[in-house]
Amino acid sequence: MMDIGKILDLFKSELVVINVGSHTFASALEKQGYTAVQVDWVPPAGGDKKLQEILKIMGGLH
Amino acid sequence: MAIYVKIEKNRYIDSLQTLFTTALLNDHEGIEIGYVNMANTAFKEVLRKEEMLLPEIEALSDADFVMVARCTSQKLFDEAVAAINKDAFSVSTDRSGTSFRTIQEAKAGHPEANICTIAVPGEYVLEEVVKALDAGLHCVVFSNNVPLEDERKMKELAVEKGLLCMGPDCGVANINGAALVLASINNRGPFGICGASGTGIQHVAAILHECETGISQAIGTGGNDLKEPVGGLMMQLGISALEADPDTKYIILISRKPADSVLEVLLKKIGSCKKPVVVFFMGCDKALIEKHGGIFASNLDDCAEKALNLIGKTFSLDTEQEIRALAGKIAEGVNPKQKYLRGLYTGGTYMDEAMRTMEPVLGPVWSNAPLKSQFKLENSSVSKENTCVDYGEEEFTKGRPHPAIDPSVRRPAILKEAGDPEVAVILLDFILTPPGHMEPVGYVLDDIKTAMDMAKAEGRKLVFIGTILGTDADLQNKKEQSEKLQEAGVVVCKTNHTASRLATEIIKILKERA
Amino acid sequence: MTIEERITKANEKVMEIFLTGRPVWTDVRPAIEVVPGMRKNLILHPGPPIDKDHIVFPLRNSISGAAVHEKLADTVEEAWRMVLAGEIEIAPAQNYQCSCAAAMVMSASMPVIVVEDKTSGGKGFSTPHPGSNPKVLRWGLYDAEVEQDLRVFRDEYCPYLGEAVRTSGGMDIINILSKTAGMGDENHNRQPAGSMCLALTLAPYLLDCNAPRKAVKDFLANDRFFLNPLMAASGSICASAKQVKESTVMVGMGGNGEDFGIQVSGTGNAWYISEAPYILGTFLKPNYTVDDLLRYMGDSCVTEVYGFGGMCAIAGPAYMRLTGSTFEEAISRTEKAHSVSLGEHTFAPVPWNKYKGMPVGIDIRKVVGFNVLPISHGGSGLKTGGQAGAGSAQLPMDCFKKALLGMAEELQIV
Repeated sequence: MMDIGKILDLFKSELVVINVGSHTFASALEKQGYTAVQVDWVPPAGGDKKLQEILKIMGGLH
Repeated sequence: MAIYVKIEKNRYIDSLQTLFTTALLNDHEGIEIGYVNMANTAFKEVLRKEEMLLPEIEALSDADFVMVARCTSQKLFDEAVAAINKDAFSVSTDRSGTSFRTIQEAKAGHPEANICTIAVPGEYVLEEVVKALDAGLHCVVFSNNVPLEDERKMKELAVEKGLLCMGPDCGVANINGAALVLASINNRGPFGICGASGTGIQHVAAILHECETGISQAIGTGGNDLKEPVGGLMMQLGISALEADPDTKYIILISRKPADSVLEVLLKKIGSCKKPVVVFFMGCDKALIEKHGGIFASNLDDCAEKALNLIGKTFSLDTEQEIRALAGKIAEGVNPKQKYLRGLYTGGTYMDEAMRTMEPVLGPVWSNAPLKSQFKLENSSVSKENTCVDYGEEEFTKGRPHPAIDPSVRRPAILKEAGDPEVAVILLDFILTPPGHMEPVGYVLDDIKTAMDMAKAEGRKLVFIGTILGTDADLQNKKEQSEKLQEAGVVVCKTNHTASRLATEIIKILKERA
Repeated sequence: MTIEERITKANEKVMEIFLTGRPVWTDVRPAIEVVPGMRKNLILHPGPPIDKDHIVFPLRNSISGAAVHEKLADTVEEAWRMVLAGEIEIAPAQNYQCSCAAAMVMSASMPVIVVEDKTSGGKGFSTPHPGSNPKVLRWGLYDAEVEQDLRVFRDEYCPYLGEAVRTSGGMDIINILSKTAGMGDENHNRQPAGSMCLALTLAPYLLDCNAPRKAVKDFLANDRFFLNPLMAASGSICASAKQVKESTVMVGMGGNGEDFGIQVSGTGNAWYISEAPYILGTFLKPNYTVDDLLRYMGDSCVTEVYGFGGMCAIAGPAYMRLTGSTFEEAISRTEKAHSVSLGEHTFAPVPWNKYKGMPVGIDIRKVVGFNVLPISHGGSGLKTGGQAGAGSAQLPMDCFKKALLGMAEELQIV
């Protein structure tokens, strides 16, 4: 049996959204009167694959 | 006409933002064609094809930002760039609170946050979803191009933690009354929807809204959930949640036909569900659904109708006779040379539904995503005979946002199709959603009027048929959008199915008359 | 332990040095007496190592001028020939626990501020600020008049300054920063409150040691006075931080008018270099243009390394206008700095920023990973010598990418 307690909690709670990526979705929620917290996501290391691999080992991105 | 470029090294602008801005740039005076993007490989390819890949752009890295356009003068280009920087990239001061770099940081700053919407490139999705789930957040993942094994991993983790992971490729979700990603704003009511098709969910929810009932929750699972590798993990979780949710009295499931193994699991779940379940699994056997206690629906309209029947309501659609009568009336005065229809869609599900309606009567329909592969258009911008084009397909959205957000990709097609003397009917769909274009109809209204006038001057009668996916609660307001279409002489149909039936009948009449 | 755990542990050590450090200005002495490794024929310069063939004019002039000042050569021309011949050595000041603001250089007889971190024992050095006269070696200007001023500064002012500091028992830098919190200093380009507080505290001791009246008027009454003690304070902290291996915290940075370089705790005095940015904002004269500007020059951004200047832009919002920016941008500049930093100074909360502290300890992993570049405030120099203006500059990403690769090599990941 799947544990659905947290989903039912969500259904009862006031929605507060963390939006990762484009502002578009955050502003759309704000237009509807909801709180949207924006995460200005960028590709790690500007998309540089070698540095991304290094960062995976060196960590620290939180 | 020369190519002008504005480069900013190490400035990252998110893709949806650059895409939105591309649309803005192209609306500026003097710009023939312009692009705004990060200088990544895919974008460089786009520019190469357009013969706009200047050496200085080629030399840039993924982390650099480019605005480039073929433009009549440096002055007009500079003005456009300045205007865009002012309109689109200035820091908005009215946003609630400050922004954050990471999900963990945002959650620490807002411990009350409970759900996370994610729109990042596919290869980064798993990492972000894991962060969100670890932070105890339910997820809505809009991103597509996520490997199925990544989807499986994130959904297994979500199930383990008892959290929703809607998507990847989740276009529509309504939670607690909020329209998330590209959903419409709907009334709340007793119906809980769980579906793999965004347009499908939005369509059914909009009809429920129009009939003065509504939805408790709409859980979008993403288009791949019911495929074998993912195993319908989210639909199973969604059904369990809706079954236990006291505000949900009835459950609606919407998807293309699930993989056999997944279907088996879901049918078991439907069979044991204590609440009535309306099931529209496109192409799925009626007897099979009914054997497991589900209420079978044969298409999206029928799905809404079966749901409404549960609360003693019905959605009155035009009957076949009414459609035929209307078609006959519309066909009057159409020039004998006009014999084809052209469907210009922003929603792929809608185009699919339309072609399934047309083909049994009219024969093959050409398309960029045809029902049968031999009818694939060689060039999506060159229609032949009866043609439907989905402007939400990757070939059009690569480097641009979904046409619901940026309708500019479809716009040129209207006048182009209208100029073809063999065209009688043009079908258009419009999608309403909070992040979408605020005037989707107004955006093309002048083109529609011009097209009609042009045809009239040449002794033709051009028939425009439109449908609007959305509700009166949407910020764009369905009623207002619909009235604008009607005032311009567009035939507005209640649903996409009706619109495609009407178009089919008109073409059939014209064919018979010839 | 995983590599990440090892880095975390090392970074915690460095952050303890940064956050519990108690730098105190204890003395003023000739560089040769106090700077470890200082030699008679060595001249220390700002920023990363210099390619002598491409040195910018003001810095060449400062180095040559300092050589004449030290009587190593009779003329600046002769001095430069000796530099090219290797008879006069030059080296980055930050490799010697020193820092040189703008185009300033440090030579053997020059008096230097000695700051000692009472917690970790590290020492840092910087020449005192030369006062408000625009014609100074600090901006790459040198002639007989400047030489005369350098001598007065060395022989008739600094000995008294040193005596005053010694008899005072030391000037506690953290104390001054705490007292002046909420007075609008960001402490790189704007420090009138810190300078006044410092001068006010020192004045009685200077009077007691009978410092010449002219020296007090010319040098103590100077609203940039606090910059150099703070630079030396940063040096004292970084000297200890550089002893910690495997840490990814930035412990040094500066420009030489051509190149910009950063240093990372885990690789000590190694420099990671790229083309220096321009400091843009405001020009002192309206007819100056970007074409007149040198690229970033000076070590005064060691104040950013220690959490000031652009890192705590919101602490000094008035300065934002000089960088062509706004109050809102000051908040976001500080927030960005927070997102790439590992700690926060709590001794000087900013009242108008919800009494939040100042971010400190830039983690190069976060800079590269989040693609967020810290911003340095600073004064800009003219190609011909002299100050051009003031403003801010985004630090170059290439330095951080190279530093990350350097750390990866150090950790034997690549």
